[in-house]
Order: sequence, then structure tokens, then C-alpha cells
Amino acid sequence: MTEPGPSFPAKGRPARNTGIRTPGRPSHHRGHKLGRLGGAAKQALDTARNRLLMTGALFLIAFTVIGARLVDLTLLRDGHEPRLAQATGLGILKKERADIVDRNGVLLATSLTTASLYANPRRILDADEAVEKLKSALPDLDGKLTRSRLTSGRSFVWIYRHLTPRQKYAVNRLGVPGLYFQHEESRVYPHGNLAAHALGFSGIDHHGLAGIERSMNDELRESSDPLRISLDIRVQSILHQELSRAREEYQAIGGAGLVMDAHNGEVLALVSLPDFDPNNPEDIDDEASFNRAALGVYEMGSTFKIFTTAMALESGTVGLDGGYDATEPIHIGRFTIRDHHPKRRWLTVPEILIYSSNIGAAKMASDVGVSGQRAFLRKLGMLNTAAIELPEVGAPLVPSPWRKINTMTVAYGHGLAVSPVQLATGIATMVNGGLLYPATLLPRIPRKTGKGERPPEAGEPGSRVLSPDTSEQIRRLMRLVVVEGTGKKAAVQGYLVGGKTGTAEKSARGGYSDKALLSSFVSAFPMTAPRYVLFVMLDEPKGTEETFGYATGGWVAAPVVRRVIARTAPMLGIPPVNENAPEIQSEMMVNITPRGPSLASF
Amino acid sequence: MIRPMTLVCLTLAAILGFALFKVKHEVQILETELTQIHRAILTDQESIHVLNAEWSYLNRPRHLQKLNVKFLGFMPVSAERITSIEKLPLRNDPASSAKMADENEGLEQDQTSPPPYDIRQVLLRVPQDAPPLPQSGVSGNAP
Repeated sequence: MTEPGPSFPAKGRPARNTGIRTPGRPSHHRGHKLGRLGGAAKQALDTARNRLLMTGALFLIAFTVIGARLVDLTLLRDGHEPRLAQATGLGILKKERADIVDRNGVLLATSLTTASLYANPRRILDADEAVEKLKSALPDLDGKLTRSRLTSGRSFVWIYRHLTPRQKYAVNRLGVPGLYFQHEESRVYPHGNLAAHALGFSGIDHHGLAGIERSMNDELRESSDPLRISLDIRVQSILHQELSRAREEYQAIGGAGLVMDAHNGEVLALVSLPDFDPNNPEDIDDEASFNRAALGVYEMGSTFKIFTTAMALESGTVGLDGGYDATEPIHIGRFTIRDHHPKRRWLTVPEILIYSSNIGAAKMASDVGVSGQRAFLRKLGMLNTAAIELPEVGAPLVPSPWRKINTMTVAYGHGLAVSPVQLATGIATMVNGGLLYPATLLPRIPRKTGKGERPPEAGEPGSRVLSPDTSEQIRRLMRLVVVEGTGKKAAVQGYLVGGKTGTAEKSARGGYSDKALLSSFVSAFPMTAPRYVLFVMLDEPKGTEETFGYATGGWVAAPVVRRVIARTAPMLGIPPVNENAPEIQSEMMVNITPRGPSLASF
Repeated sequence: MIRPMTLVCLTLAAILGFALFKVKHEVQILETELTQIHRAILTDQESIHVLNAEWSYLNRPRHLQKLNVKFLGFMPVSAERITSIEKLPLRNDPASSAKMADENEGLEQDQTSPPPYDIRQVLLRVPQDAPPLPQSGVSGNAP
């Protein structure tokens, strides 16, 4: 700025080169100069200016975006410090296997970190003193073995596996040098053998080896949330206790029991005797580990007559007021079908069930026919393996070929062997209004109902097997068996028990043995609107003086049913009713008066 | 010559540096504490886990039953001792009492389990030392 004016035009030239026009100067000068620079230079200048503008615009856009993002991040979104600090390394206790709890949240199986004691014998100062001290803390320690181990000169010997926290504390208190703890995880079943067959057990490598532990192995290993199953440990305990008592009293070789929710197939209790303690899986023998409730298949005997009656009523071949002549045993081929309590007369359908007439049931089934019976039993799930979530599930033994004689024997429960789980599922279908719900050990998720939902197909939960009317008639008949028939010993005041006895002769070599019985009782309660199905079975019970030597279902299994229902029904919240109230009487009424063939003889 | 601006900048830098050091140090202490707390939480969770198992073990139904027999003597409630509120007669009303007793007769007829006392009698009985309840009906509260 200090330079004199005359040099201004000289300075003006570079300014003109950048293309900035200075207003007020004579235009002819400029025109002359530009003319000197020529068109090419002018074009280059324009290009440069355009590029500069473009770049500037791009930068402007970029900075605007960054600015907007900055405002967005700081003012609009997450403008504050995080409210909850994201803690590093916050661990939730992760176990090798998740817990298993019952329907009320009672812990049934859990994994506990236990300490196992080992020693480095080279660091043990005085082996005898160490053994003496250890014996005071762990009384059941094998002193001799431990001494020989501690003097072995090796650098690692196990002393005691899986100490309780208290034992660990006691050992620590001893202050013996050279003793160390190794932390291990072990599976603990606080209830011991109570639900052994349902829960199963898991092995040393944390893999389920039986029961729910095995069938739900992946879920248990992946999830840290407890697995809720449908068992109710209180009901389980009562059933286990009463069944054990009966098994002892009648010296049965085994027993099985099952409580099932009639309206969704959830199993509340599942007992099989003899059982085992899953806490010590190495001590389990084959007999104890056999699940009679799900893996065992048995010819159930007379309990099948409920299915036969339902089938006949449903197909319409006979009504409740109809009947069959049970005067003479049926001779078919080399077999003879006879009754255990022969009445030697014409029997109505209710009477056939009350007196458990094989002849009547066989005739009823042969009227329906072979294919009708097979189709009905298949719909009921009797011919397929039960869908319960246990690896130990037995497939039914189905007669093949299925002839007329098979139809007649299956009608009263011989010739077709099913598992107790299948039978209970079938009975639940009979009494709940005719809908099939396969047995499950997991809480059943209710099916969506409404528009657009397809109805359940055959075999699926909620599929229809029986009409509600037939189901209602079956409920009356089952009640009648307890009031008037072979199941009187199952009656519980106020709870409207209904059921059916079953006594099957176990098949022995070349036929059936009348000494080895399979006595069972299947029941549902309360019969006006059944909520639970209870099945009890004793394997080869022996009669006692109190039962007058009888070991049939009505004598040995029915009392178990009575005691279990008397104890569980108040617990399950079933309101007792006055059995003699007129409305109950009319709801449960069945006309059993034998009309006899006199009408037919006209 | 040190300009005032430089002086201010240097002072600011020193203050910020010290503040940063202090905050970092505090964060380190807090993180150590956090790790310890996490460890304590895990230990507590483990303890809770063990206690849950023990709780379930001590609540074995059969064990509880043994304790019950020893100390309490509770029995399962029999059906005839459960009734609904509608079945209860009105208080101090002999007519209603008799009517209800009639209706409930069937429920009680086959009573086998002791004790055969009427629970409603217990509910109806007015405690001796309590102030007498006002009589229901016209006579009691008539002006």
C-alpha cells in the first residue's frame, strides 16, 4: 500500500489474469489485453474457476453433513452421558447346565460348583498326622487308602471328591500344608429319587444321559434361564409315597403312576418304581432305570373297555340303553373268551362296564369291526409311540395281522400293549369332551384360536376324537363303575371320582399266567367336569389277608387312587361337592336296568 | 518477552493436564473397585445358587411331612370340611342355620375322618371376653 500510484496498472495485470474485473477502468484497454491472451487462455481460466467452484461446493456439502450429524449426535440423539454404564466384564453366573424347576418354580435340578480335595504328597510333612486331621473333618474318609496315597511320592493324588461348603471350610480350618482344592461342577438333584424317571440324570461331562436331562440337553446347555417343566413336586411326592406304600404292602415287583391335566396333557406327576437316586448315576441298575410309566408297554386289560364303549357309542352301533348277551363264553378259533365275574345273562352297555364283561366288550367291538377299531385307536394315539419329551418311550406292540380275534381281545385290553402314558392320554381324551392332547412334560402353550387358524389335524394337540356327547356318556359310565361297580374302593367323598379297573394277566411263555397280574386303575376327577386323570399300576402284586387274597385292580390299585385323590384334590384347588345333591345325581345318572332280551323276543 | 496470551495458554495447558491425570487416576481406582464388586456379585450369585439348592433340599415334601408329624400334626383337609360361603348360615339366625344344616347333611353323612365337629359352630361362637356383637334384626337397633 506504500507504493506509489503509477505502479498500479502493473499490479493490475495479475489481477486481471485471475479474471477479476475492476470496475471503473476503461474497457478498451482490457479488450485489447484479452485479445492478446487469446481464446485458449480464457477457456483455461473458465475451467479452473468451474473446478474451484465444484470443489468448494463439495466441501461445503461435506461440512454441512458433518455439522448436521454433529448436531444430531450431540443435541438430538444420545446428547447425554449414557445413563447406565456399560460395565466391562459383568458376568452373570453361567453354569454348564441350566436349572430345572417344576411348574411352581421349585428347584428340581441344578449345577453346583463343588470343591474336590487333592494333595501334593511331596509337600505333606507328616502323612499320619494329616490323615488323622482329615478324618476329623471328613469322617467317612478311607484312612488306610489315604495314607497309602499320601506316602506314594507322586505329586498329585485325589483325596475326596465333591465336598460340601461345610466340609471345605472344615478342611481349610485344619491348616494342613500340601492340600489343595480343585473346583468342579456337579449336577445336584435336591429331591433325590422323587422325580428320577422324569428328570433323568447327566453324566460327568455335563451331558444328559436320561429323562428330560437328555431330551432337553441342548436347551439346558445353551440357556442360562431355568427350564420349567410341567411336574408339580407336591403331587409327585404324594403319588410316589402312596405308590411305594402299596408296592411294599402287596410286594409288587414294580409300579407306575401318572397324573395328567385332562385339558392340555401336561403331566403333573410321573412315577415309576423301583427308582434310583440321580445324584449317584454310577449306582443305577437296569431294573431301577427302567421307566415303567413311559418305556414299559403293557396289555392294560379292562381299562381298554372304556375305549371300546366310547368307540361303539361314537360309531352308533349301540346306544347306552343297548346291550349284548353275555350268557355263554365266546369260542373263536382255539380261544375262549370268558368273564371273570360271569353274570350269565343279557347285559346292558353300562353293565358290561360295571361288571367288566369281556364277552360284552368283545361283541361290542366286533360290531364296530376291525377297520373301525383300528382307525379309532389310531386317532386316539394308541398305535403310535407317545410324544412325551422323554428319550425312554416305548412303542406300542400292535397285533399284525389284525384279525377279528384281535379286535375281540383288544376290546378288553389284551393283544395290544401300550404304555401308561398312552393310556392316560386316551382317558383324558375320553373325559375332557373328546379332544386329544398328547402327554407333555413341558408347559403346553395354548393353541391360537380365531379366524385364519387352521383346525388341528389328527394327532395334533386339540384334535377331535370323540363328540362331546359321547364324552359326557363316558363320564357317567366311569362314575358308575366307582359308585356301583368294581372301582368302589377308589371313591373319595366329595370329589366325584370316576374310573375303571384293569387286571391283566401277564403273558408268559406260550400263553397267559394267572399268577402274574398287572393290576391298574385309571381314574378322572371330578367327574362332572374332569380336570385331572390319574393312572396307577402295580406290577405282579400279591394279595394279602386284607384283600382276601385278591390282587386285582379294584383291590390293590383303587385304594392308591383314593388316597392320592384325597390328598391332592384339596391341594389342586378342586371344590368338593355334595354327591347326593339332586343336580349332581341327575348329571351322573345312568339307567342300568337290564331290559333283557324279552323285548327282542317278541 | 513472554506475551500474556502465551502465559494464559501455558497455564491452561498445565491445569488441563493435571485435571486429566486426576480424572484418569480416579477412573482407574473406580475400575478396580468395579472389578472387585463384580467378583463379589459373582460370589454372591454362587452363594445364592447354593442356598437355593439347599432351600429346595430342605423343602422336600417328605421331609416337611416328617416335621409336620413331629411338630404340627396337620392332616389333609377332608372334603366335608370345605364349604362355600353361600352354604354358611346367617349369623345368630337359628332358622337359616337349621336350613343350611339340612342342605349340607348329605355332605356330612358318611363322615369317617375325625374330628366330626361342625366348623360353622366354631365360626358362629362369639368370643367370651369380646364385646357382645350387636344383635341383628329389628329388636337390636330399633330407636
